[in-house]
Amino acid sequence: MRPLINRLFGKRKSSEAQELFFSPSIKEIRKQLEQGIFAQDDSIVYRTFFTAEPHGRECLIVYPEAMTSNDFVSEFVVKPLSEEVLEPGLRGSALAAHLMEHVLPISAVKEVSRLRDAVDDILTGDAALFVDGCASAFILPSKSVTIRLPTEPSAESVVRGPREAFCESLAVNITLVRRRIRTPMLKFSYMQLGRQTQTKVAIAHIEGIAAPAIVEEVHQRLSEIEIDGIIDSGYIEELIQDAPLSPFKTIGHTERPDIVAARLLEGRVAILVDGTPVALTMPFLFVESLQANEDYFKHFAIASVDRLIRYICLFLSTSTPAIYLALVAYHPILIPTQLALSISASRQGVPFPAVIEVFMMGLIFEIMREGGVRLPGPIGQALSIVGAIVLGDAAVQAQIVSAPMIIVVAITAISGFAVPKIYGVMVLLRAFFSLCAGLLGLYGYFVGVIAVTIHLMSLRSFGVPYMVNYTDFDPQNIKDTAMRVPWWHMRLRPRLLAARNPQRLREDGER
Amino acid sequence: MRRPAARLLLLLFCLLLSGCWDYIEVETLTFVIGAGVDITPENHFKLSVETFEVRGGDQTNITPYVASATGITIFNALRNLTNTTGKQMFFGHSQAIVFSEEFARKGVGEVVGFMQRDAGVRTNMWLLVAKDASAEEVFKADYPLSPSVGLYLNRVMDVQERNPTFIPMQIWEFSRALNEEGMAAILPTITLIEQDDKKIPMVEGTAVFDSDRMIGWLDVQDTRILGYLLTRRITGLLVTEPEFRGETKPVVAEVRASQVKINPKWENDQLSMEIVVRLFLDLHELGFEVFDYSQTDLKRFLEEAFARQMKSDIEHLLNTVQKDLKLDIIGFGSMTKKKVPQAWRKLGGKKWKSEFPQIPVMVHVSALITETGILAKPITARY
Repeated sequence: MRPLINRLFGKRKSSEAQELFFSPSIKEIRKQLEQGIFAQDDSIVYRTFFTAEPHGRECLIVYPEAMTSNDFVSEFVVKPLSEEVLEPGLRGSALAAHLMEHVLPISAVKEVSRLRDAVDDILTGDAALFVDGCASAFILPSKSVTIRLPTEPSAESVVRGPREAFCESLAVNITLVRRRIRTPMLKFSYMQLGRQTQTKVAIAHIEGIAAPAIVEEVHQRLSEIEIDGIIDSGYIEELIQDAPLSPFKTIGHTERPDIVAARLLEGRVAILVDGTPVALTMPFLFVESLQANEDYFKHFAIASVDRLIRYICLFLSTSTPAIYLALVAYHPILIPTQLALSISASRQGVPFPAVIEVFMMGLIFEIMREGGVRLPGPIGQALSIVGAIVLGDAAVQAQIVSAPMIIVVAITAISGFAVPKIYGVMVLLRAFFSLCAGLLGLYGYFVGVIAVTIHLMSLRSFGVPYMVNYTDFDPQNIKDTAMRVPWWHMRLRPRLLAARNPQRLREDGER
Repeated sequence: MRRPAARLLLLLFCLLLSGCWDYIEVETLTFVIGAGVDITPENHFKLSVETFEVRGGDQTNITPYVASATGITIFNALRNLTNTTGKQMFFGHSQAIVFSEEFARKGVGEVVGFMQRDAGVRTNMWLLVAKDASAEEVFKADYPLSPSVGLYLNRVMDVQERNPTFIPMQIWEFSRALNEEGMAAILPTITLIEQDDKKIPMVEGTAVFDSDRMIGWLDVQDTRILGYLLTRRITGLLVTEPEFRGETKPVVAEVRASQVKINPKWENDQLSMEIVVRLFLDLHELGFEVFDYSQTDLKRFLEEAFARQMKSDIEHLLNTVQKDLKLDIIGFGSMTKKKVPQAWRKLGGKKWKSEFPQIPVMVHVSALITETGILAKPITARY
């Protein structure tokens, strides 16, 4: 990790000044900071004061405005120092040790010997203390950054289960995970990514469960990232995933610490990113798109029914418009007679061909959805009323759209919401299948399904086949797919993820 | 082949050249629900189709409409029909085709051949012969409790098992029967009956074909028995009127299970057929008040009455088929061909038509009453 950062900094021309060691003079240091590194930045506070007489010695404290607690600095740093009498002979490391051990009554004080390190810490909100005659700086943990506390998850809500979601603070997020897995085998390793943002990233895995090759691969891929900034974990996801051009994501994301904990226990690796309330988990397999954490908290039979419904919804949401189009425009012979008649009746006088109708309604629905997502809550509701009543009903009454088409769009939409994790992909698949069906009927639809299946089968996530649970006849691998077997039957961990330590429950199957 | 464009083109050919398909808007089609074939005095075909007049909008309205056109061939008539209606006739949902008697007597082979050849026609359509009415009249009749005559025909075929007064026949079955050696083809008949000043279609009885020409009818009773022998299964109700203590009253039983076996026998260069029937009955209506079912000998008496009735019914059918029609509609010929080929070599082929009426047939029927509903004894009025 260090060589990486060195390398990153090595490429910067302006970093040479920061590489300098401290000059012994406080004036010199202040000049370096005020006119060099932090030039033209008014948000940095410089405060010079002296230790107690008779041997008053100059001290400088530097911190970013508003990110540092003023009370903390005055109470625990300025006050003890200004009351301390420092002997003139006390210099260098002896001075540093004296200050650390006797003067600063703070537990987590850190001593740094390079200006650049001090600058890094100042930027996180800590105060840096420079004392005349000392060749190092003291970093005081005086951060007082207002952060959003963990709240209830908004995107992945559950009826039963923990109601905590990640927040923007990496430290809090790590706490949330560690509180669930209290083993020394849970390891977090830090990395800083982004040339400008210097975003702190934590890679978590459980030693002895996660496959070392996968952990190694994650580190390797992260270290190859070269970008100016990481604003969200989505940046990392896109930069390190196996098939970035595929719409299917091969890295999971979640805002729930309980999901991260469960994934870690299965032998997966998690990445937590500072400033992002969404963690990444990898490898990510296709089955996970259709799993919900609540499946594991509920009775297994009920959970299995829910799973099955999700699979049906996956099919309905991607295929209903395509199959409707194929049947109406190519194979009216396959529709039951009465239904064919009523479809024919409702399409009388509709000016658009079925294929245009399908794409038009699909587009309108996606517009309403996108419009609703970006709008604040109450306005979003108004939008859906306009969409549902005005568009749906009026369009049918005015004979612009046929009634069966509205039903098709509604089925598509509702079933799409049942599988929110892959909603985006499903929109693309729906359009693709509809196009295939519009060109070649059911035959085209099947060609499209086969093409997508081939694509899915060829995907891998960190070396693990994406569809392993569907192509494998190993009963161990299909226990957690379309159904969720009881916990006492899921004795082993997923084979390809945790080959070294597959035992989840005791051999005799006791809970 | 290295160039991606060439690969893509090849892939496109694979997709486009591999089948036949056509984009068509469903509202431009006219769904044919049933079709009737008549013959005009000029010896032309007259095709009448029952379609639905479909009106969309706020209140969808679907009403049956019968259109007809004539032509020198059936296909010609069909195309002329397109001219008069301005819409493409879609046979994919057609339920039934009705031939008029006159047309059937001239030969239906041509039309059945067309139906089988055409890609847009399903071969599981029902075929019928109109009796005492033209095919057009059948479709113009009233249709109580059904959306249309064509849909009525489809429904009535489904419930045939409950009252087997006709033998349903689909195009593919009929043309197989036409092709089969040693078996004559049959079709169910449809007539119009008067009811409350309305003419209502009713399917019962059988039209018998010699090759593809109709030559005669079977009545309802014979049709029932023929159905039993063809399907090797007896269903529906059996009625018999035995004499008991000087009284004759009807007794009705439903068939629970049955075994029907037809065995050709070849002994001393003499072919004979044996029909063995076993019935398992469920007693439904008992006309006799004094009849105590729990007595074994009375039960046996009833069983024998049913067996006797069935035997005489079968013999009646055999008499009609062998003596009057002289046509092997039961399929004795094809059974002989499969089971005793040496007999078929001697009597089969061209000779079978003349041999068939002379084949002796033995009929053995046994009946067993297994259930009596939920009453063991009949209800007696004590006043």
